[in-house]
Amino acid sequence: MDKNTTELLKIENLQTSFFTKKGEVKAVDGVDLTIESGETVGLVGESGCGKSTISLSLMQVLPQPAGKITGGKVWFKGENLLEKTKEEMRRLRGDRISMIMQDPMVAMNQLLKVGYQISEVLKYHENSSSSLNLKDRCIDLLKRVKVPAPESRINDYPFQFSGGMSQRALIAMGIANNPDLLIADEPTTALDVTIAAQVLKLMQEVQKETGASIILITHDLASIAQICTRVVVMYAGRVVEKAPIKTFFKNPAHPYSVGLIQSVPVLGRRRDQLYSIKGQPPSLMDLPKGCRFAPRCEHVFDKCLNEYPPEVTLEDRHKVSCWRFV
Amino acid sequence: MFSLSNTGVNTKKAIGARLPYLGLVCLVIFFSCVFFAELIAPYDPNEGELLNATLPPFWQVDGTVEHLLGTDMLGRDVLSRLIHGSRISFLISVGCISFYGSLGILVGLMSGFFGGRVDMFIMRLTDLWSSLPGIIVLFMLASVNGPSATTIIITFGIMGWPGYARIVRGECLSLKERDFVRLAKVAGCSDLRIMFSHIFPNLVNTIIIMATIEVGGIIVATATMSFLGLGTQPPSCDWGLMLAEGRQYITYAWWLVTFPGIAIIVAVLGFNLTGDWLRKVLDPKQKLR
Amino acid sequence: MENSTIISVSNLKKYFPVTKGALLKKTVGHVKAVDGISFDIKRGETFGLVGESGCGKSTIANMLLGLLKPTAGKICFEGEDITLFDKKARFKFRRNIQAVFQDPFRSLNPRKKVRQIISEPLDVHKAGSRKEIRERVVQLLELVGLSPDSLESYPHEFSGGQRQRIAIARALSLEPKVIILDEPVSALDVSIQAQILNLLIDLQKKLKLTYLIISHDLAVVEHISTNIGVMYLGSLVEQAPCEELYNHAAHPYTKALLASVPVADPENIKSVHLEGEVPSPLNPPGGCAFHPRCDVCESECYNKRPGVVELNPGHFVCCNKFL
Repeated sequence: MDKNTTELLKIENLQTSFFTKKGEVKAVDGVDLTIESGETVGLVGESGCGKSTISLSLMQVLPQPAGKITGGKVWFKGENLLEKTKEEMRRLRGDRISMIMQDPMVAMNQLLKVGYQISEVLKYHENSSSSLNLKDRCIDLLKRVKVPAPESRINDYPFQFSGGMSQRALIAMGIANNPDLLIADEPTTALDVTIAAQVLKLMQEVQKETGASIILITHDLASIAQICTRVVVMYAGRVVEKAPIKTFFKNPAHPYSVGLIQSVPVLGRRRDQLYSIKGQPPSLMDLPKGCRFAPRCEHVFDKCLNEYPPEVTLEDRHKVSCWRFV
Repeated sequence: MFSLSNTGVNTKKAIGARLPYLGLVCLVIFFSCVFFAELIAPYDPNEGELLNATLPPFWQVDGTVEHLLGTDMLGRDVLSRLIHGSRISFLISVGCISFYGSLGILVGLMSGFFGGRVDMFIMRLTDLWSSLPGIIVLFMLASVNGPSATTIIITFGIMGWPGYARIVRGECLSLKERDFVRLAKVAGCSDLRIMFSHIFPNLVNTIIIMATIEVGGIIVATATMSFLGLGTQPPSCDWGLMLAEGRQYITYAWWLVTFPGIAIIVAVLGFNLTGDWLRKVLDPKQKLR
Repeated sequence: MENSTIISVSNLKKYFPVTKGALLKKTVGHVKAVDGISFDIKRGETFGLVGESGCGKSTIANMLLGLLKPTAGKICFEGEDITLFDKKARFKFRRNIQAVFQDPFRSLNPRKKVRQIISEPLDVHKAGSRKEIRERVVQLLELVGLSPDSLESYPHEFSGGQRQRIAIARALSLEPKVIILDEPVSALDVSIQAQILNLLIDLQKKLKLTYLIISHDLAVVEHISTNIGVMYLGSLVEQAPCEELYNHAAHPYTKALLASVPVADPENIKSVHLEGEVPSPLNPPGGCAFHPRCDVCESECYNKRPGVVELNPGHFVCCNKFL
């Protein structure tokens, strides 16, 4: 890919809420995000920060009837996805935008052969391919994700696949139609360390091969450091920091990002006490008035408690929402 | 901008949301009959004047306001009999469910908790039991014991427990693998304590839901038994019996079969709708929404 | 008694029978979940067990907790073999070892209040009058950093981190000598993980506890342990003090494992060090179980099962290269 970097996806002020009996939960509350073609962006945050809701919103597969997009725009290749009809979205999903889920055991239908499930993805988005051709393409896809002996494995059922192999098969389904955007939601969380390393590497190779952009949604900073080019940190429904990968790990700006990086135990760098962010993330139904991180922040001052900080650009492409930098 | 309104979904939801109220209304009617029969019923259900026999409901030509739903061939007030009949349905349902419910729960808990051979034995027994034809058991018991409400309770009790046992066992199997049960063992809790203090409370929802839905079935079954002459005997005012007695007069006294039929429908509908609603409310996964 | 051995496991085995046939069950083979494992845990130390899923680390925990009966081998607690205990002795012994499990959403009974959850072990062991137990529960809550207001709440009212604190309070209630931590932080968010790890370290210092921590996360285990055992397919392939293991890992599997832990540092990109997957324990490879994935495998590894060698004091390795 040596095209000039172009905007593939642009999310403007996206707001998504879940309407529950207890009230409205603003899972995503005004998020701006741009993904350029060919880049791998890590979306990091704790559970309930809205990172998965973003991906569900742009695929428009929010749990119904509770989930609703209440505002904003999602530009994908110049078109607003939120104005598309159900049929248009269906054609887009699995074709131009595809998704890899966390738990491969749940994401695949246990009663259908793996080969069938992959060919389904191919079939639904293509007009002319004979079944013979389909089979070859399935085998080819499994080869690309390095499943050994793909010729025989297409006739296996998902339960005959190990966790790592299932995740590879899912990736194969994800890249079946050469999508422009691949969303991976915690793709390695359910896997063992050695297998996770293999899967991460595979995703990177796939990215290089197809030139697709990847959004890697995870709570694990380490896997982001390994394959991403840019990081987006979310906290309580909002983006608090965006930075290129090296800048982020060298000079994290937002106190939450700093806390996250420091609280991970690192092999061979043993400390008596791990740094830990005090307290709990706020409930999305009862958010603090000012900066949402203020109650847990070490550097909190008056302004933080009263007003949400604007986004400040520190240097090229490094943006942070924190009053300390205003 | 994109459209946010989605009226189609909303109206559907509104009807769905009101259904449980219909169920609750049915149940309120049913239970006020059960508990306040003497106060509500205008007449004694078993006494009638032959002079007033087969009076039609009040809106028909010969009907009087004194007997709102008419009278039967012995001059007994249909409304009063229906109101008192609710008691029989209620007592039989409660009797059956507490009888076979407790048996089924106990057996299911043991089967699921101990597993292995105990489980194998109990489950094969339930299979065998479920294959017994209920109607023949009822005939047998009725011939030994004489047809009565007690016979119905005993028959249903004997026939009904395997259903409960299976469901309780299934739930118990998954609950006993939960970490809190393992931790209870680590803490030194006895098997009995684990079964009744840890597993049972987590089964309560399922049991309540099952019971409410089954009440409907039992009311219908009781009516069927009485209709066949195997259940309660005259002069009882059981709804099924009223149906059976009214059958021969159906050509000129339609009210004798219609109103008991409606009573059965109201009671069963009440329990079923409430059962469905309870299932939604008590299910912890639904609570998240 | 300082620095004496508190738990000594020797040649511990657990085989699960694999049966065929619906009615007449025939045993057709065994899954060797734990196959001849020995290690000692000293008083006051933290022993870490790491390995990939299915390597048998949780089976060991279940045997130590008396939830599973070993097929063979001994588990000695303060010199007594606990596998020989009868029901009564086992009940008394339970006070000594308690556990904290991975998922705080599953390890607390959703139908019980916090007070009941924490006091249950005390009630069962009749550890005092009702009033004493009540006071103890309040003490325990404060010990794990929760306010006593939460006594009458149900578990679903708490977040993951708080629930794990409740689980820890319950484990501490009987003043056990050993606590088995089975993946205590892997279900928690990063910022909460650090809080819980710090709490565990504090409690250990305060109450002089001995921990056995089981995890797939090498970084977590390395952070908190004094000694680490690395498991692969039911056997302990290497065991060493923490720093020794990190700096001088000997077994090729340990090396690969250490190398594949991702680092939160974009300047230090890892390459994949271990191809392939863990073989099925139902049909493990002959000889050294690791040989199909090993990059220094030699012909003898195909059929020769390696014995244990002590490289340095306290550093044991099970590999043909060192024999």
